[in-house]
Amino acid sequence: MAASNADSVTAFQAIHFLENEAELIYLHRPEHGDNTEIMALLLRGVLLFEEGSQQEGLTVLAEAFKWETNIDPPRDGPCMPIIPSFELYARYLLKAGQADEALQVLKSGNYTSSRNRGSTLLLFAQASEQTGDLKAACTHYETLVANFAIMDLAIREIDEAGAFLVANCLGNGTTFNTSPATRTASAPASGYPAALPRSFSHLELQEGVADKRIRLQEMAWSPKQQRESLGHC
Amino acid sequence: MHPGALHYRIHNLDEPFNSTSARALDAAAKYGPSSPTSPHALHMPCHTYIRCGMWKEANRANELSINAADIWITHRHLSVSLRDFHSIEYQQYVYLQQGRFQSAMQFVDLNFVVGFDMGVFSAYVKGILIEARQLAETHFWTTDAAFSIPTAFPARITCPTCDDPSFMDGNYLATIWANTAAYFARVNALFGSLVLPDRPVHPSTLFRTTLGPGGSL
Repeated sequence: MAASNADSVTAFQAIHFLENEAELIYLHRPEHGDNTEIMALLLRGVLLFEEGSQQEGLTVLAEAFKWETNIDPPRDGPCMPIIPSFELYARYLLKAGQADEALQVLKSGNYTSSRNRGSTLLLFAQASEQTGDLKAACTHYETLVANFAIMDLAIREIDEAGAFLVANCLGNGTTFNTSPATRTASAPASGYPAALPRSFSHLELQEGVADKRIRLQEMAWSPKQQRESLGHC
Repeated sequence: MHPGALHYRIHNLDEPFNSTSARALDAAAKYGPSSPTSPHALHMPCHTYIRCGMWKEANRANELSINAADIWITHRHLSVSLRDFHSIEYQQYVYLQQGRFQSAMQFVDLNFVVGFDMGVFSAYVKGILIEARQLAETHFWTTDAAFSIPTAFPARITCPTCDDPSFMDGNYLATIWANTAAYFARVNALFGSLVLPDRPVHPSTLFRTTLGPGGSL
């Protein structure tokens, strides 16, 4: 499935927006400017890949990954960029049939953000499976299914992970429950889908104030930590 | 150790590598019990746990903190706008990592109600950010109920409190982040489904739960 021309135009507009935004952010907080530039690069890489320039897309994604690896890690909280570059890069390496390379990227990038993310585990498992490392695939699928044990929607990848575990990792007769905790696939949970005719996308708050570009005070940031320092969890 | 010291130890070690240390995990384990009615003390261990991908523990920490804050505002008859939106932001991320996509979406709706209907700017900005996360994380998976956060871009939001120096840094940066994250998530969603060719790219219906009038608890 190819994205439409309109989608591509929209995507390029968004990339342009992010690049402009990065220039502004650099004035105040260079480290945040880095993350914005990385997100713009990631989108450019995805766009190139999906439009048929696979190698060029992977090169741009690699550049984003390298950039994120070389800056200070997120100070706190969920991932920023909101999809870590190592994950997106590995995903497209897998799409290009480069499972070994994807595995290397996943291994080197898994510590730059929060660990044990569901999408990271799935990519790890898929890459391990494709490289023939069934033991590692079993480990990652098992962790993934355990983390998603109380999921509230039916998710095909979790069903497939359960089937893989039964077929390749567990003893005869063992089953794996990958059903959603709160409902079955055929019975939507109460209240879903419930349409509300609005979204954040269509709202607008008072304009004008933020155009006053305010000089932000520089905050002290800790130096980059050595990744091999500790690791107990 | 004094609870304040535990607090700063968690913050001090809050980055990808030292968060996994025994010192960080020790502080995380001790801080909540040291201040069991303080929402933020109950939440803080989550900073360590999400670094480690300890989703059950992170979920527990945030459940306790959100509940403690709700008890506080209920007993004092305070506005729902004073719910613990910092913990809620983290909890939405934890839910997404547990495949609890519907539960996560309820927080997007809550932020919508408080942020827009009640005019609380910080909840509004945070709402855009967590909506972006919802889109980014759920588009990776094939569910039988498509989420349909619109791929249209938000109007460029601005920061009405930036005239007040005490709010300047946080709201200004939050505004920038919300804008950039929303743009990133939506463009990625245009292409994210291509990994799974039979998946709809642009679901046509909104997919939200409804809270009570005024976002009541």
